[in-house]
Amino acid sequence: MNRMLSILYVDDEPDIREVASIAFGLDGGISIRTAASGREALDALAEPGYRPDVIMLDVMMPQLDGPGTLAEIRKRPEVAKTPVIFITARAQAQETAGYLKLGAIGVITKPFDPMMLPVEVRAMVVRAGA
Amino acid sequence: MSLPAEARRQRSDRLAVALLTFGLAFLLTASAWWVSTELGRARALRESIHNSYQQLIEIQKAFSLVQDAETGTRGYVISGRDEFLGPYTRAVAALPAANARLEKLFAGEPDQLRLVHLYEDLSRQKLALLANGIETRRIEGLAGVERDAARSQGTSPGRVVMDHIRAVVTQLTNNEEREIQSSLTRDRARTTRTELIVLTLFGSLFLGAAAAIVLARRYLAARGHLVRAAEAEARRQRALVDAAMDGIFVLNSAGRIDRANPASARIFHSKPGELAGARMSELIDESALTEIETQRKAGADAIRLETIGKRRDGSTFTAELSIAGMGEAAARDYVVFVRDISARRELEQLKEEFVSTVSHELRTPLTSIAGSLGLIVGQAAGPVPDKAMRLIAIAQANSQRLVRLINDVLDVEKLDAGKLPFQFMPLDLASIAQRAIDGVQGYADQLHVNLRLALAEPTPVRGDTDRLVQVVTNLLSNAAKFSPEGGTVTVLVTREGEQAVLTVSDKGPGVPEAFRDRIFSRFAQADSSDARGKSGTGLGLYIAKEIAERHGGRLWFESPEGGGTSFHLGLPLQTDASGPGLRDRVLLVEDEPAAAALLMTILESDGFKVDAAATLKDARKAMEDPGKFGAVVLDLRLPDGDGLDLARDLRSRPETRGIPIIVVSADAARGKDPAVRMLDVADWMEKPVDPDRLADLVRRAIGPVGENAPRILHIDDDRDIRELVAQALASVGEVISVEGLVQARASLKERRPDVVVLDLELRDGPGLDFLEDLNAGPGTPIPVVVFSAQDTGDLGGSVAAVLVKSKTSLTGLAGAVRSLVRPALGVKTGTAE
Repeated sequence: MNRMLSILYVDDEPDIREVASIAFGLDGGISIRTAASGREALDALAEPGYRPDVIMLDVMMPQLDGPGTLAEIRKRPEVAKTPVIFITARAQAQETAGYLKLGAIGVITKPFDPMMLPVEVRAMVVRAGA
Repeated sequence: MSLPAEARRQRSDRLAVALLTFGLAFLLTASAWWVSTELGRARALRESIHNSYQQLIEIQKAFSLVQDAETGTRGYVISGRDEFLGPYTRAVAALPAANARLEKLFAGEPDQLRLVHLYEDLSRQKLALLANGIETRRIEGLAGVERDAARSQGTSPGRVVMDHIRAVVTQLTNNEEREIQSSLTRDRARTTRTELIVLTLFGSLFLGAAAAIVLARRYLAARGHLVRAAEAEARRQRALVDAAMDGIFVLNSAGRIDRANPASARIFHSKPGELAGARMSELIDESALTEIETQRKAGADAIRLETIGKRRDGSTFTAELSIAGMGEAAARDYVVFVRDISARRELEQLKEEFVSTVSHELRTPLTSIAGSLGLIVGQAAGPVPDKAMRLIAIAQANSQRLVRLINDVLDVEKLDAGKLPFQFMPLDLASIAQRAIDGVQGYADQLHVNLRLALAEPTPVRGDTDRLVQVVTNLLSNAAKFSPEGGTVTVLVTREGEQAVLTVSDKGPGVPEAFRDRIFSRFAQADSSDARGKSGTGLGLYIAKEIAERHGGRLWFESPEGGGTSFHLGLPLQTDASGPGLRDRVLLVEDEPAAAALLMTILESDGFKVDAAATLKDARKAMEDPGKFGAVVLDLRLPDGDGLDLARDLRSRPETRGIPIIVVSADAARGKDPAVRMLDVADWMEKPVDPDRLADLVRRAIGPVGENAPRILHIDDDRDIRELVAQALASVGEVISVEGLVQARASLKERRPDVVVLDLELRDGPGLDFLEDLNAGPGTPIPVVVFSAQDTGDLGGSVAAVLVKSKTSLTGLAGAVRSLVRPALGVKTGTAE
């Protein structure tokens, strides 16, 4: 049995949020919650009792972008250690390396294959030993 | 006048001048010698004539004495007076001296000398006869004389002797006069000849001088022509330099600016002429000066570099410099070209940002489109009717093509800007081929084309795995695209001399003649009717060729008449120590010089090559080329941080995840820390170090290389996991990755592995079935590590470890496998189990 994963998915594009929600829904072991901005994600994480296993952040978001959101998350001790995966349309090797240096456990490039999305996220979690 | 003709004429002129000079010099010398000889001869002649006249005078003098004596004596005989005896007495007194003079004068002429002697005898006889006559007159008086005269009957001995003397004198005189005559004749002839020669000489000199004048005029005319041409050329050059858009100035050997063109003044915002005398350091960044100096010392003739230019008003700009030396090395001037490329840089930046932004803006809607289509095709929204499914498949294929196009455009953009990063590491071209085949398999299946790796020789090369897979994938998908249905695409990986060559051959229609020249250009596409309607972006082969060339290799093709195409990727074979399987180079990270020297000596004497780093910074720099090292020997206390940070870094990067780390530290307690144990440190050595043990550890950590590397058979149906595991175990041994039981059994039959890593849920059956195959074989059981999503608990038997994918990191897996191939290390402190 795959272990249960709780994911917080943050993206400003509603269409992509919906595609991702359906995609993660295919894996019976994943519960997903979405947020439309970095601010909304931080609000969700402030809720007592909500502790996702993985946070997925779109890099390019208005106002608070992905790396900015990650920096805010790191400032909150209760969620600071939660593994983060970036999602980006800027799929250049140096950029990917840069996001990994920020402490992300993986980078998923857009457009992604929705059928493979749960598998990839699980693989990243496995690789990170998280 | 054409240049060759000019050159020819100059050459013939030079030859004429040389011949003329030589000829005149010879003539002058010869003439001088000849004239001096001639003068000598003339002098000799004159002397000889003078001598002859002298002789004549002396003969006449001598003869006069005799004649005078006779006349005097006759007077005495007739008159009997004593005063008539004077001439006789004088003759007697003078005759010996006169005769002596004559003999002396005629000493060189034997014939004449004989006559002189005759004359002397005769003159002496004559004087004796005269003495008799005088005696007779004195004693007997005139009667005695008359008696004697009567007795001689008219033939008096005196007259006979006198006649004889006259004849001899005449003879002598005639001879001498003849001599004088002949000398004079010879002298005249000689004089005539001398005149002739002197005239000739003057003539020659005149002609030579004339020729010299003609030549000199011609030379001066040519020189004037050249000078005018040079002046015109200089004016043209000056105009060129003055009109140039680039700043151009001359830097003298003292490092100051001699001359600068107007563009220089414009570029550096200075007034015209103000730059003269300025130093280079006032105009460009100091770092560039150092760089120039370094290159100059290295003997570079032309130096090009990009740097910061400093304007006179204090502002800066991006400058491109090109510097060339002029003249001899001793006192060298430099001409410097400066170009302000700020605008170009800004434009490049803008273009890059634009391309990046556009690609992002395109990708975002594409993500929704492709994502939604993917979900429908994957039946995530319930069953889809067949007809609709076909249409959706078309939409999905084309959205994917759009993604490929965007990716290719970005790649081309990066390649052209030289900004596509490459991570070079040792790898095997055959494994690249296998990975590309795995990737293209699905596409080939759709087209009903077989992909076959027909030959895979060991081919160590250096390269970027992802980029090379991209190249081979492109060749394979092209080959599949152009293959007839049911056809086979064959892949060969061979060694040819110094090259590793990967060949992809298809049985398609071949490359059309008209397309061959353009096949590697951008957006080049053959008539797509051959490609069964599956057209690409037209950028693939361009990118592939660029990538091959960045690897120091090349890409070429053959397309013989009658169809079929073979594309070849050639890369230089890596045979040096940095190649895979030969990683006997160790990175030693130690800050204390004494300790570093000791460890280095130990390692080197054991045959390892050692690179030393004294700081974390240096070590990280060294590890930028991760394929270079077989192991890292690490001290923990470093001036710029904790050595374990480096270990953590190495473990977080896929390409260094498996490298053995040996810690040398005085702090053994830290090795027990669970967080440190996670780092899969191969061994933890306390200081002071036992030399034998260190060398032994490094040797065992690096492991047997090449042919003797342990074989690890990994069975997993997930391609990503196979790749990750292969990477993680690369430093432990040779990894053979297969996707199912069928391939695993085939591999087992081919060659026995040393360790098996097994997934339990495989597409073609439960992984545990494979344990029976392993147990059925001969010899000692092969140790097995179960690496699976399920936690099955202890399986016993040959299963050495059960690792759960979500619980065990890949470094943990590497540690477990390493402990199995080298059991001696498995019990050491700090080895992750």
